Amino acid sequence: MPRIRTSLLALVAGLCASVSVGTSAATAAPFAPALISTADQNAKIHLKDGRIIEGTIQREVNGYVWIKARIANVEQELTLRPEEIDKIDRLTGDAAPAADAPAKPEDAKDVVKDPGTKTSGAPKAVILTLGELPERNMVGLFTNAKPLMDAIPTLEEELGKDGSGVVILRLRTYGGMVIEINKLHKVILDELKPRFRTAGWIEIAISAGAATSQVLDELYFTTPGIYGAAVGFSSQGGVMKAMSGRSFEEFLFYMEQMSAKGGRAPEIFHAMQDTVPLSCTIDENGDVKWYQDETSGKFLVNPADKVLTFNSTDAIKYKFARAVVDDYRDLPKAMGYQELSFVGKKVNGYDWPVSKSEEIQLRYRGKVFDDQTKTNAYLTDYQGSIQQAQAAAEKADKAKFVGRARNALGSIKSMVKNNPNFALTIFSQLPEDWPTWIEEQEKILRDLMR
Amino acid sequence: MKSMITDILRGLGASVALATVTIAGAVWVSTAQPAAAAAKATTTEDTLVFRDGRVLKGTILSETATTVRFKGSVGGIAFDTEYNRADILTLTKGVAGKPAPSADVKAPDVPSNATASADPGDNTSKRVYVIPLRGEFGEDISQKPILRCLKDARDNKADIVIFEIENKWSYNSLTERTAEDGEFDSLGRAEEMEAAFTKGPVDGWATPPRTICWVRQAMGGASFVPLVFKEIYFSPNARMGGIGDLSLYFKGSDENARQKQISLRMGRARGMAITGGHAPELVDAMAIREYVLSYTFKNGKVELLPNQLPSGPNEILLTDDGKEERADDLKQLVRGEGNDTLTFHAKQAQDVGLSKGTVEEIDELFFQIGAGKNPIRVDAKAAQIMKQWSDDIVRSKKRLKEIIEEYVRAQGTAGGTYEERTKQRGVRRRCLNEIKSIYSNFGEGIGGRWRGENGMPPESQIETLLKQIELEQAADKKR
Repeated sequence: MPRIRTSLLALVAGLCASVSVGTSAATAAPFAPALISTADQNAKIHLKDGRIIEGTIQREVNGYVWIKARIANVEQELTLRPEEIDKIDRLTGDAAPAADAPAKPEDAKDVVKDPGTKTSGAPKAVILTLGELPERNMVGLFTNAKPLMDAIPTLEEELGKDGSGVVILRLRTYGGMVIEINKLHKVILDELKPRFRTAGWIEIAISAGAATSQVLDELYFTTPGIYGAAVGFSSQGGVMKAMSGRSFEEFLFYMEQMSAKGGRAPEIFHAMQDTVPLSCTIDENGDVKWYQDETSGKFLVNPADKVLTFNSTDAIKYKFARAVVDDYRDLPKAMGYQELSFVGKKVNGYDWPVSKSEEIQLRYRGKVFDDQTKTNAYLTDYQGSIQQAQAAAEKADKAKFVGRARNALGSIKSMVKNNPNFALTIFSQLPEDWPTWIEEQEKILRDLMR
Repeated sequence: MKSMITDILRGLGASVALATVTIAGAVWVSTAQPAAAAAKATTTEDTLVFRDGRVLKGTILSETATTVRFKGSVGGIAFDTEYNRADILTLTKGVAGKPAPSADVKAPDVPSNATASADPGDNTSKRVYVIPLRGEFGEDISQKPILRCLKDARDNKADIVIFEIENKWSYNSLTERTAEDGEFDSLGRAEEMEAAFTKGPVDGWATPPRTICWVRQAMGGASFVPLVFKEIYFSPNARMGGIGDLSLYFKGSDENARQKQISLRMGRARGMAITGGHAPELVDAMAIREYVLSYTFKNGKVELLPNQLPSGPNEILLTDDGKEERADDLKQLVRGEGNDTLTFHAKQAQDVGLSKGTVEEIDELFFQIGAGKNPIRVDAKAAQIMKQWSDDIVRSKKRLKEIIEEYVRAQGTAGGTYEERTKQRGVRRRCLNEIKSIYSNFGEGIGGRWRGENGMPPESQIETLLKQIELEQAADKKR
């Protein structure tokens, strides 16, 4: 619905200059007993608030009009009340566009061109996914800074280096490792933002996903989008313990700083990190003032005993997000562009063009998924081969198994190279200690051949 | 004037019938009446104009603050239905007062089984595709067969797709689950299927169809499915809920961590409700035991009263906090009348606007949704597609059990000659690869609970076992 509203607002600018010589609402409204008209008719309806809706009238009853119109490339059926309607221009022949015909850019200045088509002059944009559902979304495992960093040169090739390019980060993650958040912030703040206009498009940004997005000053939500629930915790035997003490205070302080980078009041994220209250007031200018209690603000956003997760309705209401956008073709308008040229190719199963930069993200996650599934297989092969080599009496057998072990070690090195966090989570090695661990393993294999 | 009357008749789904037909106990008289008489009839009839553009003429039988009971006919079928006022745009009473009882109402209709050609003017009939979602949620009801049905619906140019959901809600043939057994975390399975319901009827369609969810039973994880639909209808005995256990989750964990888990789950479920245009508070009432929700009506529209017990006769309780004397007792639970958490029944669902109407038969639903006088069913393959999937799941489970037995047998034949051991490893390898293949094709319909109970290895374990076999073979000697 917010998308419709946004689109309608945009139409005001695009169509209000039109000249109409139609009947007034009073005369257009049928009078009893001529209640019903069902003939499809192309028409331009001028509303009293200045909007003009152009499309095909589906039905008219007692002055109510059902019209099918294409707004921002989305076909919608609207019900208009008699008191909303100023006048109706009834068009004949080809004067009005068919409701299901693609909108022509020249029909209305604000209508979005097919953004999948490159248009000279339009800024270029890519959509990069941070996480996939249902499995490939954990921060630190699948949603990482590294593939974003790896994509920078490709992004510059695809979007140019003149600062006009747009990177839209589509968040789809239920969170993950705290250690990755800072890395993601660095790549967004130090690499992406200085080069490109960078925005978040929120489907699921929970926990570390919300923390990551907090440095983005421009957020768009999907209709079912969610953002929050960022309590840090550890789990043992199925029992969870929330972050507390110094580590909690450090994380809180860190996120206050990151909230500032995204231009957000720190109280908001605090209510996502802890069971603390949050209320706000929206003044006459539309500015929102936040309070870390239940009563100072006009609106209670989060009660004291709950943890905050925004949905799209509240994110818009409290101006946390700029707009609700479900279709990438509506992003340009929401972001204030006449049009954007989305770079990439159509790929089955994807809702937007897949760019080469996005392919880097997909390949990264594909390899992580494969490695995750085969981690125990790599280890079994590596350790089993070493044991066989140690037990082998003949040199040829020893060499055969050392060779196998080298291959398995190669798989292990490759998985850690792709995602350095595996060093810590699987092998309990800090990143800086990983080269030493590898050297030790290679020495073991060399010694076996002596 | 004549064209106006034609429009009126078309609006009513009218056509000319020459025979006198008796349907549903009412005598329907020939409609070959003078136009003037027809016009007169319209002025004495009551008219309902719905927000979706439908127009009905007939007799208002009764009215309440929230509903209008209405009698009329469409396509020759008499109906007597209660509508939500919220769905009605205008209500116009006949100027000459109440028309005579039904026998005297001259309904210019033909029976619904008349062919479309009986009314050359009928261009309103829609191509309808009904997908039956029956059986175990997440197994029989799963995204792959739904997407196959949707492809078939697209190929058949369906205008309307109806998802008729009636999931199984029992542990076995003897034991019915109760609404309090709850399984909120089946939300995850609903999430996996969500795109099939929201994107499936859009992707690849030149003109996306209208989608409708008709609830016969949506319990447990299945209760999240209707939420993503803007149009929901219930059958008279429908239930939707059974997810009221979220407050009990993570009881051993500290409160902040627990609230985080609840917050993200509720966020996701509320998001689904928002997708369908439904009040997120309804999900809170379904899932959280302590949550209190009442409702009232103002100007014919429902108004939800969060965190409030009813304070007067015009306020109606949906769920209380389940505390002390308000806790549901066994008698209420057994009868499905508990209100510590909300399981929607047809009336409540309609009262609060979750459901647009209550219908028992598919023809009633066609009428309610305005599918035209003679809706064209284009779903001949739907039931077969869904059944084929269910059969495949049954066969897959059976085969998986056989494979495990075969694997264990092969494992037990260690020893023997090199050739025998090699052959045995070949059998084990084949078994593991077959399991992988079944997971790949039908895994989404083979639930984690079943896999656990039947000792099915996860994919990562299969990869490890395959590597072990490879290693064993490499280490084996011909002796």
